[in-house]
Parts: sequence; C-alpha cells; structure tokens
Amino acid sequence: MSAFPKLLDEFHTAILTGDAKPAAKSVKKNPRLAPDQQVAIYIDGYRLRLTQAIRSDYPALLALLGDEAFDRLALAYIEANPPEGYNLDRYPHPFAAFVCAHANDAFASDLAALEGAIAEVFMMAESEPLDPSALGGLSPEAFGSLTLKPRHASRVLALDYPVDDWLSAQRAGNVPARPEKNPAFLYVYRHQNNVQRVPLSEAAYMVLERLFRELPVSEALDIPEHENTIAANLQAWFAEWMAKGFFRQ
Amino acid sequence: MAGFFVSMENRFAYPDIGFGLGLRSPHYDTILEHRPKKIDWFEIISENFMEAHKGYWDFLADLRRDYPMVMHGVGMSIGSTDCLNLDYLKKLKALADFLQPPWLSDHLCWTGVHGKNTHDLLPVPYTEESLRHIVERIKKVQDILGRRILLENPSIYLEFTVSGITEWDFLARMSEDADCGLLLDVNNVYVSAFNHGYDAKKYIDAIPSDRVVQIHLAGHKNYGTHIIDTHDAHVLDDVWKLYEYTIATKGKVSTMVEWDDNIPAWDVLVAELEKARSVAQNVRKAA
Repeated sequence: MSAFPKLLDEFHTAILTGDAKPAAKSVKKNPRLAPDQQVAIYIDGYRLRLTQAIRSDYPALLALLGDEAFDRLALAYIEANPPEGYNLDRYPHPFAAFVCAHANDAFASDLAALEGAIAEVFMMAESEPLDPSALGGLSPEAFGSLTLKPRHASRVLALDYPVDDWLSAQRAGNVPARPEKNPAFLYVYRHQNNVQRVPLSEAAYMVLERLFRELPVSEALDIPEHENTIAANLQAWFAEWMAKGFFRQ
Repeated sequence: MAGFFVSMENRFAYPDIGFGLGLRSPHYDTILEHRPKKIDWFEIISENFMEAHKGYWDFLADLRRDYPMVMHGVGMSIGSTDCLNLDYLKKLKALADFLQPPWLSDHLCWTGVHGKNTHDLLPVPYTEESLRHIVERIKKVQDILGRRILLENPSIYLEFTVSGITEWDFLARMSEDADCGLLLDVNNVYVSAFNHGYDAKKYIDAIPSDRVVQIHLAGHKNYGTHIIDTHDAHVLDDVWKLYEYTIATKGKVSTMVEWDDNIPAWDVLVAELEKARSVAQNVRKAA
C-alpha cells in the first residue's frame, strides 16, 4: 500500500477506535497541541456529531433516560455500528432496535420504537394511494385473493406500553410518569409533511400487519381469536384505511 | 433581488448572485410565507434533499421560482481512497438536474474509507500523490455530473508530516489541473491559519482569484489552544476583517453566511447577511 491510502487507513482507524496514538505519529507538531490531542479533536467530533444526530431523532427517549444513560447507549450504538451511508439522517433509524436489544427497559424500548418509526416514516417516499374503485365490484373470491401494498411512509407497531399517550404528554411539556404495562397498537404514517399516529385495536393491527406482509386478504383476515371483531368491523376499517391512503397503487 | 448583478470576475463566467443564506428547517415557514427580499439566494445542503420525499422537492421548486438555489454537499468524499460512490453521484446529479443550481460544491476532504462514513470533513495530506488522486477524481465527478464543481477549503485541526505542499498551493494546483472552481471559506482560512500558525492573508493571496466562485462566512469557537469551526455564532471581527481583505483582493464574489447550530431568529440571520453586504459594498466604494 502506498503512503496516501495507508495514512487515511491509520487516521480512519483512530477515529473509529478512539485510539489517537498510532495515527499521531503522522501528525505535525503544533506549539499548542500535541499530535495525539489534534487527532483527538476528530475522534471526539465523530462521536459528538453522531450522538447529536441520534438525540435529534429520539428527544423523548432522551428526556426519559437522561443525558448520561442516553449517551451511553448512543455511544455503544456508534461503536457497534459505524455509519456506512452518506445520509446522516438515516443513521439513527436502527437505534430503536439497538435500544430494544441492549437497554433492558421495556418501556424505553417501546418509546424508541415509536420515535424511530416516526423518524423513519418522515423520510420515506411518497406513494400514490390505492384508488377505492380498485376494490369496488370485486367478487368475494377476487377480494379474498387480492394482495395490497402498504403506503411506503407507514409502519404498524405492537407495543407493550401505551407510549403514544406518554409521548403526546411529553411533547406537550409535561413530565409524565411511566405508565403501567398495557398493550397498545399503532399505525404511524406521514401525510404531506406531518407524521400521524392512529391507535388500532389488536384485531385491526393483526389484520393490517398481515396485509402489509402482502398476504392475500382472505389469509390476512383468517385470525380465529378475532373472528367476530373482524366480521363486525371490517367494512368500517377498510373505509377508514382507504380514506387515509393506508395502501398504495 | 437586492444586489443582483452579473460579474465576470471568475473565469467560468458564473454570475455574482449577491448575498445568500443557508436554507435551514427552523426558517422554512418564514421563507415560504414572506419570500424575504433581502436574501438574494439560498444554499441547500445537497444530502438533506437527495433522498428526501417529493414534498421537499416541491418545496425547493417553489422557492426556486424566487431565488437562485446553490447546492453544497458534505458527502462526496473526493479525497477518499474508496471508489467514487456512484449511487451518491447519481442522486446528486438527479437533484442538480431538477434544481438547476447556478453551481454545485463540496469540500476538499474525505469522509471515510472501506465503506464507512465518519460524517466529518477529514483533512487530506497535501502531497503529489494525493494531488494526482484527487484531480483524477474531480475530473471523473465532473464527467458524471455533467457540470463543473467547486471545492471548499475545509477547517483543519491537524497537518500530516508528509504534507510537502501548502494547503493554498494544493488548492491552486488542484483547481488548475482539474479545471474546477473554488469555494473560499474565509472563516475556514482563519481557523486553519490560527490552528497551524500560518498567515491567513498569504493564504488568500495565493488562491487564484479567477477560480473563486463563492465565499462562505461563519462563526467559530476559540478554545485557546485551537479553534473549531462551529457555525453556531456570529462571524467574528477578525473574520470580517479577513473577508474585507478577500473582497479587496479578489473582487466581489457571491457570499453566503453559514449558521447551522444554535440557529438564531430570522432577523438575526438577515442582519448578519446585511453586514456582509455592507462590508463588501464599503470595500467596493473605497476601491
């Protein structure tokens, strides 16, 4: 390897590992800062920049955990997942899954899942909503064999805690107490530039989650434990889902 | 637009589009609603929009009707030893083709190697080997994009022992050999000069005037031992003086004030830009 790539490798390794010493030997002396202190400016800047990016997507989680605990998690995430993409806005999205795997705090994990979904959905592509006429006049058999595609900018979430209410209260400037465990289901989607959250029943969530996996409608509806609820609400659900553009062309 | 006139002071005949601000989200609503007349143009961060949904592109198209929109990137990584990121360049070109900016810029830096990205503007060793490497990459990028690019001098917090070329000579030779333009960040010159003990005016003097298409101004933070380019405060007096010197020696150049962190009220930003306009006008009057 010639000098130039080797130098970049050394310096890059220093930034990622946080060990300035090997790279410092290639840095000019400076009357005010030793070479390793100069390298440390980049080492610290890397972590600070990425931590700030994660903080900006998870402000409620930051408020819940506090600076120290949040930054500890963020730095562990950065250590385990050096960024690969050029879009810094996307880097924090998998942080929610990291929190779930490492935080040992089910409520924090749910809150991270919700804030992560909001951040992700905010950036996703627009999609042309499915025209309701596409479902009109179909025979029951044709409807049953239909597969529907979810709107790009959307997520369905199954949560152990009612984090949506907690998030609303926190955003309103309150300091809400951690709620009791109580399953909650949400549809998160972006309309124009606003991310909306729609509470779902467990049955509606299960149907939507299956539809979003592009199972045929008949399979998506085949949930014996919710058979009666589905039968009673299906028409109203579809009316709402079509009106809000849950499905794309 | 206030202050708009065509200047042919750079060799590429890019117009002098006056005094601009960065297009930043805290002020989107103000800009959309009031279409402020005191701002001649806006600079966008390319990466903020390249993968954004259609609503953002519609927003840019809307503003484009009233303002020239310049594209400024932080992710080209022209100094990296990785292959050029063709996916990145494809998306950058798509945005440029859509927006038709007066010009498009990035930095003389690298952001990572081996497929990783530090999201920082890392310093390049200034050697004959790196110069050849970077010049070839600029030429390829310009071919792919179908347009000339400008590269900005970064703020530098260290210098490599192997660097046998000064930063200003590197920029001059690079721009000549690759036939690209330069975005002269006056604050970055000040920061790097402080950090490494060289003469900022000598740096400015050595930059080929006819390749400077745009100027950046920004705030920084002085830690005593070193300065960090923070973009979170007013432009400091010493940088205003260096800007005055730059305009006096380079001629009037499209100028933009960067303020990316602790972004202040809209009126504060406009006042900062008006100060730049006033400094430049006073230099021109005195000339």
